[in-house]
Amino acid sequence: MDTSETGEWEALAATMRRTLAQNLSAALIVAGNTQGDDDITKMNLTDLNRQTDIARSTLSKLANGKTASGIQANPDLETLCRLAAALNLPPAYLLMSADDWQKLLGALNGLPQALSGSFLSDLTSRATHGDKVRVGLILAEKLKLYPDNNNFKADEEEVGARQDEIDRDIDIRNEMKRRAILTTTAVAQGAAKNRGDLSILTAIGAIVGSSFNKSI
Amino acid sequence: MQNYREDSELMSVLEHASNEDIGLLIDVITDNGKGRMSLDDEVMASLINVKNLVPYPLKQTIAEEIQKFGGNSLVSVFRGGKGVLYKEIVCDVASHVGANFNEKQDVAQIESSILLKIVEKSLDKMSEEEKKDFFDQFGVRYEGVGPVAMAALIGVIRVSGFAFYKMATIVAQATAKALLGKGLTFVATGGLMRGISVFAGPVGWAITGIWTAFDLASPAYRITVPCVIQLAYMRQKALIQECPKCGAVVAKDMKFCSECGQRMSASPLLIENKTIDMDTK
Repeated sequence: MDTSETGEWEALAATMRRTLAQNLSAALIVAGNTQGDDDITKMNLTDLNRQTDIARSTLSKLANGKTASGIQANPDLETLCRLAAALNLPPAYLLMSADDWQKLLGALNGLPQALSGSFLSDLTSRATHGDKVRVGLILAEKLKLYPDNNNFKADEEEVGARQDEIDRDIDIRNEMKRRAILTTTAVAQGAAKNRGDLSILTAIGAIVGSSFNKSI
Repeated sequence: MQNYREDSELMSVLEHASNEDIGLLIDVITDNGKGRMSLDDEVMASLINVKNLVPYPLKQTIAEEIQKFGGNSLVSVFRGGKGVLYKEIVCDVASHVGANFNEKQDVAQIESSILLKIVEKSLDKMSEEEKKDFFDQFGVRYEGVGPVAMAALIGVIRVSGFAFYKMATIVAQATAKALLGKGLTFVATGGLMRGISVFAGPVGWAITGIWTAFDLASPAYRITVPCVIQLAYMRQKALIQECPKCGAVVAKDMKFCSECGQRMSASPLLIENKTIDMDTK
C-alpha cells in the first residue's frame, strides 16, 4: 500500500467506492417492492432512479464504482442520504466495509472480556466529561491491545536485527493506534444515554480503534 | 477443570512437552504473570506458582484456558463461555491471517501455513542479505521475494520435517522474544542457532504488527496467536531429537546422528515421556 499522504486517502477512497458498490448491490437484490407478500424481489436501477431522483447514469456509476469510460464515482452526502432513504438503511451502513464489520465483530467478541469484573464500570463512573475518552485508552492497555512492544533486544551475538528501524516502526504504529483508539472511542461515546451505555460504547470504541490498520 | 473439552490435538502436544516450553505458554496466558482481564485469579495463581514439573491436571487447565480464549475470538457472545477445540482455533487464526488452508488438512499443516504467513510478512523487514540468508537456511535459492520464492519455501517445508521444525523454531523464538522478552530453552547448534538470532528481530516485528496488519480485532487473538505459534513449534519438536553427543538435530526415527555418527538408541524425548507418565500415575 502506498504510504505517502495523498496515496493514503486515495486508497481509502478506492475501498469506499468498492464498498458502496457492493453494499448497494447487496441491498438492491432484496429491496424490491413486494406489495406485502413474502417474496423477496429485486429493485432495479430504474426503480431506484424513480425513488431517489438520482440520474440513472449516476446510479450505474455508483453501482459499478466507475463509469464505462473510467470516471470514478464520488457521491456527495445528499446522494448517499437519498440512497439510504430509498433503501431504508442507515447511510453509514452503505459505507461499512467488510473490514469494518469484522472490527465490530471483534469488538462484540471482546465485550465479555472488556466488561468482566467492575473495572470498566468503575472507570466510566468516575470519569469526568473531559477524560472519559481516556478510559478507552486505559481499557485498550488493560486488554493488552495497546501499545505494541517488540521486546526483542539485539545483544552482541545477535546480529542484523535492524533494531532501530523496527523500534521506530513500532513507535509510529503505536502513535497511530493511540489516535485511532481516542477518536473511535470519542465517536462511540457520543451515543451513550446512560452509564451502562457508556461502558459498552467505550469498549466497542477502544477495541475497534485498536484494530485500526494502516500499513507503514 | 470441569470445562476442559477432550482435545487430542492440544493435549498430545502438552503431554509430552518440556516444562520450559509449557512455561512459555503459561507466560502467554498470564501475560508474563501480570494477569489478564477475564483470567480467573485462582487459575492465574495455580499457573504462575508452578515451578518445576508441570502436573497433568494443570496441563488440562492450560488446555482449557486456550480453548476458552479461542472461544472468545470466535463468535462467542452466545457461546456462554464454553471453549472451542484447538482445531477450530487454528482454523480461525489461519483464516484471519489469510493463510492458505482448508479445514480438512491436519492441524500441523494448518499451523505451518500460519507460520509461513508470518514469515512472508517478516520478509518486509529483512535486508536483501538477510533474505538471502533466510532462504539459504532452507536450501532455497533466493532471487527476489515473490510468489516463486515463497512457493519454493512452502515446498521445502511440506516435505522436510526438519525444515518445518527450523521454521517453527525461528518463528516461536522470535514470538517469545518479541512478546515476552525471553527466548525458548533449547539446545541448538551451528546454522540453526544463527538463523534464529538473525531473524528474531524482523519476525518479532511482524508478530507485534500481526494484530493490526491482519484485522485480528478481538483481544483474544493476543493469546491464541502466540499459543498457536508456540504449540506449532512444540508439535514439531516432538518429532525430532537432539544428538546427546553433539547437539545436532536429527529426525526422531534416525538411528545415528547425521553430524557425528553417535548412536541415537535412547532418545532423550522418550526418557522425558517416561518421567511424565510415572508422575501422572
